[in-house]
Amino acid sequence: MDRSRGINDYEPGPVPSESRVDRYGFIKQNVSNSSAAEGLGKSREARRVRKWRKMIGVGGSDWKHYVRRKPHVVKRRIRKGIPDCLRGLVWQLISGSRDLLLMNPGVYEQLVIYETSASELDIIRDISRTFPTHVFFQQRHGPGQRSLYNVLKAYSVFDRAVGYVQGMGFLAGLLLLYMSEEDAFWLLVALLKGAVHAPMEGLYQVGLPLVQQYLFQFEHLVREHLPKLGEHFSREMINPSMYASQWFITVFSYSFPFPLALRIWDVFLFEGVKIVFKVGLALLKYCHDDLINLSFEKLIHALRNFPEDAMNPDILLPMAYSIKVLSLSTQVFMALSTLKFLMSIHF
Amino acid sequence: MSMRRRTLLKVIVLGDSGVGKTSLMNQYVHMKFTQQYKATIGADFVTKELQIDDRDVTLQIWDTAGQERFQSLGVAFYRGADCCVLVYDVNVMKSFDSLDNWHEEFLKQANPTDPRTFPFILLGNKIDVDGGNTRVVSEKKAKDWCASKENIPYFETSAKEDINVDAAFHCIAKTALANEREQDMKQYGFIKQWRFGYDHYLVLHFSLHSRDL
Repeated sequence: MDRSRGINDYEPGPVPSESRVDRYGFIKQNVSNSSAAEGLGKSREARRVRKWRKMIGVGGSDWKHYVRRKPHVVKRRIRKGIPDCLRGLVWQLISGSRDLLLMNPGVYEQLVIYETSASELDIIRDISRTFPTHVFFQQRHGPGQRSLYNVLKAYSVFDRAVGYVQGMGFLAGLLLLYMSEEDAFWLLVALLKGAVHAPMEGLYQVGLPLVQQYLFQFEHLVREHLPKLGEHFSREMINPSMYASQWFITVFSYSFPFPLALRIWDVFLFEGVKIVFKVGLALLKYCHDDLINLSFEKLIHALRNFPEDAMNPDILLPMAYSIKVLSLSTQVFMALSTLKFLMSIHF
Repeated sequence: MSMRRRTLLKVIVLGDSGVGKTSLMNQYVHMKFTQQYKATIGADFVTKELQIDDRDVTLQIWDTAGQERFQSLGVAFYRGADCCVLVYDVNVMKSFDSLDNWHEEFLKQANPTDPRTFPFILLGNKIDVDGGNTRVVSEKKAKDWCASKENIPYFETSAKEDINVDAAFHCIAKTALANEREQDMKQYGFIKQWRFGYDHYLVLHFSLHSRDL
């Protein structure tokens, strides 16, 4: 049946034997679980995998060359979704974490085994509260929880200024489903410290300044792209910090359906944080006509529980791609020039 | 003529990470407990409708992330609160020691008109754990702290075993309501203060009854 097809062909890692988990290893909440990611035909998926293998080469050897030569092809293919069986490898290639790993042999082991972290208790407290419905993380002190602890602890030592911040567990957890502990650690480093580019650099710093900035920018984008809804939000005193902070802090991995979260991560790693804004706007746009009629409480609820059809990656993502968001630096630049302009008039 | 309206009370739940804020809220509102909670990121929100002294009341409960670093995101929720619920874990001393900080931080951010009389409530949670053998904060210690803070009401709870949860939230609602009334009388007479985010609640329901005339 549908399910066996999904699992037999390209399930990474150990195959869960029971039907009570979905393709990604999450315990099924309801029976109707024909997720959109599984909608692709078998042969089509196989063709895509072949194309991708050719593009990245053996163990990723051709990747850099290909990206340099045909960045647009890469971008287009990533936007269609990285095949699940190659996802772990491709994420490491895109983020540059492979290079970090090769440049730092033995470092991860050192961090895990010999160093102590001030955040150890905080991390332990959250371990069982990270993807609690996933088979890999469910077992107390099981391999999943142990890996998660090691990666988070290692990071909190590696970047003592930031340490451990709630939300990181969801990033690390997501990564651990696609790669080894050490690989996941270096990808986390690549994300938060910057390797090729750092889409999340500074996100977890004290005071969460970057989150604040993103929320502020998102509010403006809502007003710009969906003026009616923006007006409705301000009438109802709805502020993005009431619904969107976890979008930015965990890049949609906290509470969104896994098939959608993965597709967003594909693009996020290649194109950066802009995709978070675009997906956020696309969600609001898709639900626009419902949202505009809701009052405060129902509105908050709706913004935290989008309907299933809105979260279908094959509908939502094309919509997100079509939304034009100026690059963040451009926005800042424009804001500054507006300010300068106004000042030049008045003084 | 009688005038009925649904009063909205805004409640903020604060306390260290892992003390059981989300669990308490869910036990109260949805009457269930699960081991499968995710750590709260940002903030969460639930509502519950109830009646207090014949008044229809909607409790709007904001559940916050416990890690200190998230406090900066809380400002938007703190304003206009009618009551602040502080939660600690009776088995974790640090969560009790943090109470002063949460108390102070809330007053600073929410900036209520009269910080001395602003209603707080303290909940000591997880009293069920290991039959009370792992407990490190005594009831007396907690009550002394409450006494030092203008006599904050105190409840010992277990979200898991559903001990005292209803009673605590009932007290929270009552306290919030009393505070709200007092604020009304003081500042605006009969006109309800227009607060953050819920002007739609100020729709007044008029009903005509001959006996009221």
